[in-house]
Amino acid sequence: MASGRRNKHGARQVRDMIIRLHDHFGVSCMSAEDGEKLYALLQPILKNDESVVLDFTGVRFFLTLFFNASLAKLAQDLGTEFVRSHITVEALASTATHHIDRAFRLGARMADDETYRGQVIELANRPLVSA
Amino acid sequence: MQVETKTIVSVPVLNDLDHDVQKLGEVIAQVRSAKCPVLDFKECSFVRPAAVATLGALVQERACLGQEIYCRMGSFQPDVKKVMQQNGFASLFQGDWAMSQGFALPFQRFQPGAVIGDVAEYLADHWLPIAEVPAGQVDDLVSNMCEIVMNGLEHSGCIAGVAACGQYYPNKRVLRLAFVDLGVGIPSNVRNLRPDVAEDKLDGGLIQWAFGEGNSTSSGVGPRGGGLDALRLFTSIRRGALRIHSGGGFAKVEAVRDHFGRMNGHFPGTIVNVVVPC
Repeated sequence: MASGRRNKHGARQVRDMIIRLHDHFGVSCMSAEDGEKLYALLQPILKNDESVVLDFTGVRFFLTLFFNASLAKLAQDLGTEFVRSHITVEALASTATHHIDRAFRLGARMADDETYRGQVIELANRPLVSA
Repeated sequence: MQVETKTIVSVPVLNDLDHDVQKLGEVIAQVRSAKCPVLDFKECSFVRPAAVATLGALVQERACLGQEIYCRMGSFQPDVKKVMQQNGFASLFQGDWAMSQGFALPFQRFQPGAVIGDVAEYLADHWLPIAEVPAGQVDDLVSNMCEIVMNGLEHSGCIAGVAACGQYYPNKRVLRLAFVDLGVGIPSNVRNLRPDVAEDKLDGGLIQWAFGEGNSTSSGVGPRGGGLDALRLFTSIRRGALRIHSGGGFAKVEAVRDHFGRMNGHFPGTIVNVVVPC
């Protein structure tokens, strides 16, 4: 999980931007489209080397699609360690924290494993064939 | 005047073991090959949610194709009749059959294009409460059920979408859920879209591949995969069991170990069975 910037007492040293996911997505962080919206919110903040808090208060439902399209893609584009160090996750249900770790692993794999990335791109570029 | 010949399709006892899935595959084949199939339940003394979801999916598939399917309502044995009334299957044919629900989670269909957030709210607010699932467990359960529904809607290509049915067993404190699509199936999907990984793998091996983190047949350009892996983690943490039958293969995920293999027969689509203590 990302650490954020905190002093030895656990208090935040700088006023990080807070994104309350419930305000943007309601009780469900599930679709790839919403994941892309979160990516679009986060990417300019991180590129500006600012830190951000993701506050999941009030969010009840989660799907891997959402995390793949947001945090995994950010990790792929900006580097896993960089994203980890700039994002703090709060109030995420303990049963859903695995999504964050998996997203960072998938993002790192997309960034680092050229063969894997090539396979993904090849599949994406395939012409659609109706069943 | 043209008279349509009715084909009687006898529904056997349907548990959710390997040979029951095989029998379900045979029932599907009989129905699909008949112009005017009639389901007869006189030989059926027991049905599990997976069978109900499958038969319900078959009814919906026929409806989508504009084809009829009938049911001999008088053929139900008393216990099965009660179950079929409680889970809503009987009302697919005869709307006025009273549905006293007991602990059955009624047959439900999720259509292609369904908004997954709406599916989640329906499951949480209207479906699971029927089975009196403890409130603290609902959100996690729904999130993982939605992984299954979304997988089916995204990958199966099934015109009827994904069907679901469930039953809570209060004495055992166990919830049994089944999700079914009558689509292309996981092994065929991997063979068609990822021939590089399919090679000479059997169907069980292809399902095993689909469980791998980052493995997917999705056509998106970014990071993908992880849905089945998340489901496996959920099953493990909850000390439940997950069984998937698809094509000619199966996956059995339990606390001790995972097992992937080939089943006798073939299922034209995917059945996902989830058993969780509640």
